[in-house]
Formats: sequence, structure tokens, C-alpha cells
Amino acid sequence: MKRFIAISSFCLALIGVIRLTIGTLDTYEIEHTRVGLQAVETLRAQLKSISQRRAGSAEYRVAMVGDSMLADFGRRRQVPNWLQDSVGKLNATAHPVKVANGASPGRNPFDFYFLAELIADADPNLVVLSFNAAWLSRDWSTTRPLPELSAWLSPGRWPETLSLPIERIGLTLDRILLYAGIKRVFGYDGWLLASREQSRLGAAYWEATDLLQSATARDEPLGFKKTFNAAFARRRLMPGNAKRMSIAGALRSYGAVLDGVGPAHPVLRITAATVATFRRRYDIPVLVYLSPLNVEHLATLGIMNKSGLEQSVGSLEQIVVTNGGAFIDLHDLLPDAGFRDSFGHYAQGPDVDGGARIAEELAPLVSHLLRSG
Amino acid sequence: MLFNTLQFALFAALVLTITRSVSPRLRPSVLLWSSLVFYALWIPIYLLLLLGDVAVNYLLLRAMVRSVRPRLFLALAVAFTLSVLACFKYAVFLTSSVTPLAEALLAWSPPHLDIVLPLGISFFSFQLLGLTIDVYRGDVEPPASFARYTLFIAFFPQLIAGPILRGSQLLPQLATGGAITPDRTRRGWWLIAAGLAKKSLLADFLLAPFVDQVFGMPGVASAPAHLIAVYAFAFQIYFDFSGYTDMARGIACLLGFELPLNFAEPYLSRNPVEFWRRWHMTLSGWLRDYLYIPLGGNRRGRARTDLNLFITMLLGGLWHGAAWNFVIWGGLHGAWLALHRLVSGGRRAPTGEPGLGDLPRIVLTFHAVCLLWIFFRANGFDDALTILTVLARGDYAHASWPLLQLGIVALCCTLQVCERAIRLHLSTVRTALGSTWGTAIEGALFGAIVGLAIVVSGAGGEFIYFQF
Repeated sequence: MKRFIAISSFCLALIGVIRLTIGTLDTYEIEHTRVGLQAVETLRAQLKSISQRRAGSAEYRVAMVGDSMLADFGRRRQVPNWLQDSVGKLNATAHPVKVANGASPGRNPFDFYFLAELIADADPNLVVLSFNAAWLSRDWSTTRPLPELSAWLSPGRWPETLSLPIERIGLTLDRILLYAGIKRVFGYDGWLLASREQSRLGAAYWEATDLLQSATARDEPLGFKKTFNAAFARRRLMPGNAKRMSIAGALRSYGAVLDGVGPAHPVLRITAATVATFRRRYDIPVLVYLSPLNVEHLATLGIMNKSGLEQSVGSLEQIVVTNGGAFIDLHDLLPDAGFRDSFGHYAQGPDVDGGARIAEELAPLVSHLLRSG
Repeated sequence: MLFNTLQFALFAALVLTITRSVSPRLRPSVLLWSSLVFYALWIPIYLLLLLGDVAVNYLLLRAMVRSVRPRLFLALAVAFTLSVLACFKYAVFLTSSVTPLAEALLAWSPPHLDIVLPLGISFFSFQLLGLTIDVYRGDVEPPASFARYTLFIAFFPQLIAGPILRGSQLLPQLATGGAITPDRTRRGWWLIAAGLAKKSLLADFLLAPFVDQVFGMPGVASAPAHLIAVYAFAFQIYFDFSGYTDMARGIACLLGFELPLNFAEPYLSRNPVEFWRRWHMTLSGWLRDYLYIPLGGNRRGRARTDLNLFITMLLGGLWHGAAWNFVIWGGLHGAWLALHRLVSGGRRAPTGEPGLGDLPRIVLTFHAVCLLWIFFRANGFDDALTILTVLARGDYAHASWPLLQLGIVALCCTLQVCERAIRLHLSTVRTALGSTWGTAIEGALFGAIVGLAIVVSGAGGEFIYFQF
């Protein structure tokens, strides 16, 4: 009897606390913060244009993937639009070209590795990966790790995955099994629901920490968290020019690239595995390009290290080419005026249009890769 | 696999179901396989490292037992275990430390190493060493089989973060397959609940965000904020580690085994000697028995005793992490212990539980511990100095005080006192909860704690001591 009472009261309290929490989240309309959770839906929608082609159609289909450097949402024309036009002009034969923009802000190389099968499902003739040099410097454990996306790995890819540096984003075998198990038992909707609720709890947690850290007065009216965030932003930006990074900010974003990284760098290993997955598993050609970074500004700051940067570029090229991909280095394509903000997103204006310039550089190689199949 | 995760709950439920449904004779086999699976669920390849380390140590142990020159095999076992530990834990630290010198003198850069620290390597290495030394000294019989030996090292509740066990503490229990009793099971659930509350609610939710902010950018917040953050970190690391140990002990109880106490309200200590008797007790005991006493302990005069203390604490600091701040932290603790010996004139430390009259000494000791935690937590020596400078020169009269965080620290102090009261009056508490209503309250409390832990775990929260 006592055991029954203990178990009943335990269950009631447990369910009560969880229901109360979810009710509170609903009441205060706390939404999940992890944009990447929609990666699967978004990518499917983005690649729909190339996956639903007419039977017997001879069109070339290109899937471009990348982060905000490629996504550039809100702009009238983005790199994929420019590329579609440029390749179309070069390739004015019987093959129309369709380029899908599969980019999202904040996406990272681990996402592309996890979602490679989803991209391959769209059956593109070519995958183009926009590589952001800042990926090599980022501490993935503290940015936007989305280990939940590992649910999209087929079990056949688990052994290879476990040999990769996935622990950098907090992913271990137990979590792979958990996410894959949730997806298998409850389907995509169950996986999304679980991930969303977890993310909502995370959002509530941060709201709560905001509250906890705001109990200050007088000289810190913003509260601790906002004071710290403001101080952090100040350190990242140049004094008097919010559109360019300070030395501290630039080193945070590009420090590792400028120092020079080797092929064993965790992000390069993941990228190598992604290229190999497309090339060897699905027989889809891959083009990787190093997206432009503001070398002019880095030189002005006095932190430009040409030999280190060359070493990093060489390492990236090596891992792409040895895994059967093609590589093009565009890191010094744009002048300082070609960048519109401190993160290095491209400017779009009458004088310099970053997206168009990248597309122009890519078009011949893309055209060649499409023709050679 | 963290104890406060869904995947561990599923794993533990499966293991508990199987363990409790088989005969005691079969339990060690079930636990051995469960422990190996538990370790493999992190990064499978590292299971080979664990098994290799265990296998070599076992072979050397057998050879030591049979040999006429056991000292040789003891030395080989110690050298091998320390070499593995050095390769995986200290190689990066060593190369990064010598790089500036090598570049300046030899114009040569050592290769950059990128080694993932095997989970719990510091804990199982010390356990391997301890058992070998105990067998050499004749304090404990060698394990009956390789399987028993492996289970002793890899027993999953304590594999990755202790407590660091002695052969005499677990091997006899493994021989009988443990004893699952209602009383032990009930205690196990309570330890798990207490551990979850400490780890998820207190350490991760209430303390960590504020500590991370202040230590992440030292010098930005006001002096009072720095002060409170130092206190908050002292409690964060305590609740984080002792919470994990409580969960480990609780899971072991559910499986029918007893693990030793690892923390006994360390912040109520009256001096540094007592602090180290109450903080991470199994590590302190290990360092005392296998390092401090073999170095000569206090048998070779005052100067040598102080030196032995210093060396022991320095290496104890290095055990915590391969970085200079841990070395400095350990060295400062060694110096403090030596200073305490000097001031106390070699008088024996007070034994028994402290009373209200000990409050000044408790407060003083707590502040000294907090001061040294700064070196442990700060991101480098420069950051530690910045924090110390802010604390020393800060304006406490006119700056704003983070009152909520101050309240949380006060709550933590109260909980430390409550912990002691509960530990000392456990039987009274149990009797009070023995009625029907008591049982219902007990169940509901546990359910609420688990529910809250699940809720606040949504944001993650790493376990600090995993990095060691």
C-alpha cells in the first residue's frame, strides 16, 4: 500500500510540475529559439524547386548550401539567383539550369553532414557548399550546436560518424541513439515536438536567467546580462564604426584561420566527410568555395597573416579535393566596400555587388562540373 | 552520458530492471556488460583505451602477485598508468607550455595536438593505481578474475566522476553480488533526488549563469558582483560535484551497493586540514595514502612535512586539470596547509562536529577557500588577477549589490547547514516520513524534484568535473 501511495504521489507531482511548466510557457508565449530546428522543413521547401522536375526534363539542378553568407535573406537577389543567370548564359544549350538556395543563417558544417541524405534526396546534379572561414574559429560547443539533426543519419553512417569529432557539438553515441529512436518511434512530428519543447524550455531558462541577473540597481540599470552583452558587443566592434570588427572581434572570428589550420581541424574533418558522402555515397559532384572575407580590413587592423591564411586555405582545398570535390578560393575576391556589416555579409550596391561577383567567379566552374557530370 | 538526462534514465531503468530480476550470482556479469556499454555510449573507440589500460594493469598485477620481485611490477604498473594519463591528459598542456621556449631557442614548433580527454581517465587511473598499491602492500586480496577486476574499475555509477574507490570498499560487495534491501532502495532514491536538485536546480540553474557571466568577462561588473560571483562559484562547484556523487551513490544503492561519502559539508570546516577531510574525501584520502605518506608524511621534520604537503597539493591541483591555473590553485592550497601548520604550532585539528562558537573560524576558512577558487575558475592567471584587483580596490559602499544572487548564496549557506543537520539526524527524518502521509509527501517531493530537474535540464549544463 505504501509503495502504491509513494509511486502515485511521485507520478502526480512529476506530471504536475511538467504540465505547470508547459502551461507557463504557453501563457507567456515563449517560443523556441533554435532556427536550425526548422532545418529539415526549410531545406525540404528550399530544395522543392529542384526535386519536383518534370519527367524527362534535361535541366541541370544545383543545390547551394551555406549559412547567412549565402542566404542573404531580405536582399533582392542572392548568390543562387545570380548563379542561375550566369550559368544559364554560359550554358546556353539544351540544358536549362535551376539553382536552389538551401542556406539558412547560423547553419554550420555539422548540419550539412547530418542532412546530406535529405539534400541528396532532391537529386541535384551538383551540390555547392559555401564555406565560411569563421567556422574554423568558432567554438561550436557554445554557438548553435544542433545534435538533434543527427536523427537524420541512417544507421549505416553511424560508424563513420562516430569516428568524426562530433563531441565538439556535444554529440555522443547515446544522443544519436536517443534522437534516432525518437524519430523512429514517433516520426518526424514527434522528433520536432520533442526538440521544440526542449528548445522552449531552453528559451524559458534564458528568460529566467535574465530575470535572475537583472536584480541590480543604480550603476547597472540594464541588469547584468544586458550589461555583459553590451560590453561583449562593444569589444567585438570597432569604436565609432559598428559596421566593422575590432581586433578582438576579428580574432574571435578569424583567429584560427589566420594562424593557419591543418587538415585535422574538426570542422575540416566534418567538411571532408560531407564531401565524401555526396561524392562516394550518392555520386553527386560537390563544389566547395571559400566565401570572401574582408582581408583589406584585417590588414588595416594589423592582424593579417598571409602565410597562416594560405595554410588554412590549402588545408581546406586538400580535404575537398582528396575526397573527390572541387574547390575554389574566393577569400580575397571583394574589397572592403564589398562588405556591408561587421559579420562580413556582402554589400549590394551599384558599385560593388558581392553576390553577383561571387556568382560570376563560380559560374564557369559550375558550368564545367554540370557538363562533365 | 550525464546522469540528469533522458537517455541515462532509460539506460538506468533497463539496467535496474535486469539487475533486480536476476540472482545475486549473475549481477556482476550484468553490471560489467552494462558498465562497458555505458562507457561505449560516449565515444565507443575509447572503450578500447579503458579495456587496454585495465588489461595491462591486470596482467602486471598478476605478475606482481606471483613474482619474487613484486616491486618491479608495481613500478611498471605505476609507470604505465601514469604514462597513459600523461599522454591523454597532459600531452597538450606540455606541448603548449614548451612551444614558446622551443620556438625561441630552437626555432621549432612542436606539433599541435588535438586530443579528446577520455571520460573519467583521472578517476579510473587513480583507482587502478590504488588497487595495485593496496595489493602490493597486502591490504587487499587481488580480484578473483579479470571480469571482477574490470567491474571494479568500470562500475558505471562511479566510473566517470568517482568517488574514487578502494579495493576494500567495493570488491567484497562485488563478490556477493550486492544486497538489494528496501531501506537501501529508499535511500538510493533520496540520494538521486538530492543529487538532481543540487546539480540541475542549484548548480546549473541558479548559480552557473551568473558565475559564467562574471568570470567570462572579469572587470565588467561591479566589485560586489565579483564578490558574490566568487561565493556563487564556490557553491556551484560544490553542488555540481557533490550532486553528481550523490546520484552515483544513489544509483549504486538501487543496484545493491554502497559507495563511500565524498563530501561532508566542506564549507563548515574550521581550517584547511578539516576542509580537505570534507571536500572530495576519496581523492584527499588517495593523495594522503599513496602520495603524502610515501613521501614521508610528517615523520621527517617540519620543513620536510611542509614540502610534502606542498608537493601533494601541487600534484592534486594538476590532477584536476592540465593547466597552469590548476597547478597554482593546488600550490596555494599546499602553501596554506603549511602556513596553517606553522600558525597552529602542530596542534591536532579539532575533531567532532563544529558548533556555533566555531563560526569565526568557519567564516575565515570559507573565505580563504573562496579566494583560492578564483584561480581554479578564472580563464587564466591574468583574469584571476583582474578579479582579485577588482575585489581589493572595488567600491562596495556605493556600487549596486546583486541582491537576488546574494539571496541565492545565502540560500546555499543555509542548505549547507541543513545538509549537516539531515546527515546527523537521518534516522529521525526517516521515522517522521514513515507514516502514510509521510510516504505521500516523500513521493511527491521526489516527483517534484525530478520534474523540476527535467524542466531546467532543457537548457543543458555540463558537469564541471567531467573535464578532469
